[in-house]
Amino acid sequence: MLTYPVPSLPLRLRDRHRLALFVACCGLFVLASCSPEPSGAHGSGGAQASGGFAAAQGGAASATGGSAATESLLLARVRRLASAEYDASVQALLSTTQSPAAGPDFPPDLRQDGFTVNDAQRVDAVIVERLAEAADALAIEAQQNGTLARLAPCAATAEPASCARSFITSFGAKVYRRPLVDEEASALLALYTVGAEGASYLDGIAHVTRGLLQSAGFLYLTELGDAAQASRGAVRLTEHELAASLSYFITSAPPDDELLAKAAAGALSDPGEREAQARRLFAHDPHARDTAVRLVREWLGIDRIADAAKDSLVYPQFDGLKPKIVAESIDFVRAVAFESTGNVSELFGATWTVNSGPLSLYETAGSGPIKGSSRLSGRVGILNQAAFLATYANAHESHPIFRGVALARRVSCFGLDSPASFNLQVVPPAPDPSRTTRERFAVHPADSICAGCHDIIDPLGFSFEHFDGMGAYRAEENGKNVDSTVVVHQDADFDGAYADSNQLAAAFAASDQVRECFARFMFRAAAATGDSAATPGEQGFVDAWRTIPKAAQGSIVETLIAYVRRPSFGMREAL
Amino acid sequence: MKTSRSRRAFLRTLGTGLAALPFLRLIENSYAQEAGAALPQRFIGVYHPHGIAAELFTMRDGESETAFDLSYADSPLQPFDDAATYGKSFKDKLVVIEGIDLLSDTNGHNSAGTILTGSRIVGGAGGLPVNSSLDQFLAVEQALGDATLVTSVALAVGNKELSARETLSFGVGGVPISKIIDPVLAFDFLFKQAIVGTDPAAQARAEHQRKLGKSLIDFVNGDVKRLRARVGPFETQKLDQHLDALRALEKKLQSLSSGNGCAAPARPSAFPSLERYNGGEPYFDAITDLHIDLLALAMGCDITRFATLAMNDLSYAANPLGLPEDNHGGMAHTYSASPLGSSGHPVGSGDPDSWKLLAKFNRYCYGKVARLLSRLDQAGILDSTLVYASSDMGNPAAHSTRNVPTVLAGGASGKIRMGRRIKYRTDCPLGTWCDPSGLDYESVPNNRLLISIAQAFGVDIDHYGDQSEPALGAGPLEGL
Repeated sequence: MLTYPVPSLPLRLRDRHRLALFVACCGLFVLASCSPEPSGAHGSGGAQASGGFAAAQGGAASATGGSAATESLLLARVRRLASAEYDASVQALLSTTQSPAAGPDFPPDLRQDGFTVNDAQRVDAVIVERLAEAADALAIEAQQNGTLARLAPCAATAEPASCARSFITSFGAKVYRRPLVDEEASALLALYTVGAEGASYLDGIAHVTRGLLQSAGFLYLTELGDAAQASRGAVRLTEHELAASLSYFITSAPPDDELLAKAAAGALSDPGEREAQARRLFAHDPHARDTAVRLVREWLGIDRIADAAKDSLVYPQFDGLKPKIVAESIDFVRAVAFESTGNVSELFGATWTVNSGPLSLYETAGSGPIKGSSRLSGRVGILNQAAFLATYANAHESHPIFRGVALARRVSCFGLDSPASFNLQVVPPAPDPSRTTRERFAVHPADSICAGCHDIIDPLGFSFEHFDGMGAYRAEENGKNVDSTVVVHQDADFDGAYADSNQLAAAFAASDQVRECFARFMFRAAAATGDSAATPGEQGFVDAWRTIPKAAQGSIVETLIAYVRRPSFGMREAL
Repeated sequence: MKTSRSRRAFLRTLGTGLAALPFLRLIENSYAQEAGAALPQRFIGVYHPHGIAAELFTMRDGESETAFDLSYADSPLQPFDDAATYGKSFKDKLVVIEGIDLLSDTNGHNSAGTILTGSRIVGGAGGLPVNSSLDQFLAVEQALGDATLVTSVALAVGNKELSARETLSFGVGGVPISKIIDPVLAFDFLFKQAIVGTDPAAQARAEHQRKLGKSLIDFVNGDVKRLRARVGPFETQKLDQHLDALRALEKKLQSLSSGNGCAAPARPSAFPSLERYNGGEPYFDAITDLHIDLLALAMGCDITRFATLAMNDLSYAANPLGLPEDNHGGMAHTYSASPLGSSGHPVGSGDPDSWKLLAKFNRYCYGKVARLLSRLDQAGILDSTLVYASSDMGNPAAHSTRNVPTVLAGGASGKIRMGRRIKYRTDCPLGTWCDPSGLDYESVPNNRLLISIAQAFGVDIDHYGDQSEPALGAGPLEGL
């Protein structure tokens, strides 16, 4: 145990917004000011501090078809399509199989709070070139494979410029997800003229297509309302914005013809219609399933398994098993969400996994409840699968603190601040071949300041100690028996003594608190602001979500639909 | 990761390709040479991982600001005084600074974002700085990059993740600038537009392409501006960055017709793998060299004046440095600091073998910086360039953001006196840890260095970055 001098009195505070603690603890991720309060509880307070807004002004609330009494609204904004959304959009528009943004040349999504879809994405000097190259490649392909001729037919007797105008009006509206204004149409016609000059009609159409695929109207989803509304205060999204918001939220792809028709008919202000459309998409659109899987993986951080590597001397099996570990992290979520109960309880409590997973790491016990699955003994739910265990670990060792913090923050919604924000220096425990990982990390309870936070983190994390840094079972470590017994005592509904992480996972599966935390994270993913502590409307959403039947509260699909139904779904606050 | 025969064969081919770069011809043709004495100033920020072996990095007994040795056994700084390997000694083109802190308010792993921003790293899940980095501030906001074909470039090895980790360049508001990890893309970004064949047909094609490209940029520019007119004040920043990016692209198009008389090198061949954790590691050394050579060529041609390079480690089995396969776990986490290297956070009991291991890696990284200096020197622009190299940690076992290694190199056009070692006092009484709120804590934050560098570039500011206590981000670095 290392201790450091503790100065007597605070003589100056570097930051009036936080209390500096004049203590340094040892051990990685020393966390101060921890409380088992759900971190979302700060939501409404934060919203008020940043100008929380009552939506019930004028006819605004009734126009959205609900009672938005005093709901905090997200700010009016634009957000650039994330990589997956961009790819799905060009595929829908041009019937191509290209996925430019998923390719190695595109920069990755800037994440906020772990989520790839968010309002921080920018277009910088590198991305602008990638977008231009992608637009060029897509336009060339569409010209060569006949797609453009199909989208922009022009009879031999017709005036080419007139055909181009028709194409701009029809295809442009699909790209922009709304009818074009005159100024946009003329700018695009000018592009046609340049492209067709000394070349063919279709060369001109291809040039328009290049422009459309790099345009602001395509790249940015707008949540602005229309110009006729007041420029300050609550604004209603337009019907076309509603269609796009709904479509990209549920499917990560642009609105289909039926959604556009509903928008044209002015139907999407009605929460019931939005719900019906969302259900239709979940039933028929494979993109909706992909999107739900993405949301769950990004919530738990297990999509990061793609960027995990292990020391091959310590974990020689890992490189060979990694593709299966990745596959399981996708296929298991999909199986639970769409082939089984669809419930987050099963996600945590399932005693089976998909056969595409790393079964050689597990102990199987016959076939599982759905096609292509196996029963497992000794592994309960997604938290005891290799993707979670290997993601939250170092390259050469398990990491109980990473695992515990992930559970505390993202599964239990305990509010934990970063240790550095309290001037606590983080010191990873040194390697020691004579001790177990738990023994090396278990220094916190000896220090009263450290214990305040690690009382929360450590039991959650130590429960996994039977699983090493790549997720394989171990009975012993460094010649000693592994101890995975823990006691959770945080006034949580999953308080209790557990033999290991499997027992703890079963408790999570039954926990209302965990279900609510899941709902909070689905809200944050939907809000896409990245600012989890100050997202307007989170508490309002959770209150509304609590009113859906208890059995449906853990449903992944029903939770997303609860968001779509919110009156605030169609409202923003303009500053 | 295995060292396969095909990888070795590939690297052999690559070596041949590198040697074939028409380096000398390029220099003869360089804009800088033609322009004569009034050379512009260039800035290159370099990140190297895993902190520093401070015990071996520090000034030794009896040395002074101007009288010091870099060539002693186990010196991390050895490459800067190694004429046999790098053509000449760069000892007189160097300021080595000890005692600088990154006041990032976060753990060392997330602190690279503070190196050029001087900002705290805020927000969840790793966080981000809140203001732009110095390279972007100078190149974009102060428009010092306007004069060149490429406003600025951010290169990296193995990791293109947009986060505060291992990232140096950030735009307005602290948004990470996309990093180019593929030398082929780096080549295209820097040189592609500068290449125009000399035959009339090629020039006519280029002119047609220019016209088409210009029409697209004009259209997108107009479209972004139409949207910009509809959004609130918080959103204009995003669209302004898009407009800046379009302007950067437009500059490249214009040069198609004008050219700058600079012969570009051959386009490098593609690497089989580029990304960390996905098989790229065995190529990192070659990628780093290629990035450095392309960057020096581009600067020699005055294609760009502002760049950053985020280096990586060599985490693969049987790496040429003989480091543990997991570099960070086997070298940084096992660092056993003395009181001098620990910033008051002793981990272990001070094992010199652990210092030597890290010093070997430090020497590798500084060897790359020396290669960069050597290439810039060959291009005749070393004296007008300032390189700022640092890491996200000081003592790696503690992941401490105090006393991070700081090296300034180049000539900075005489604005910064080179050939020196500067040692600022430790933040706390030696060997103890003191809280930043205490009276005995006296930090030398890197914000001051950023201010000094901006001033050297003729930008008269006396504040840079974002610190909870504004004084920490104010005033230049005394003694520099």
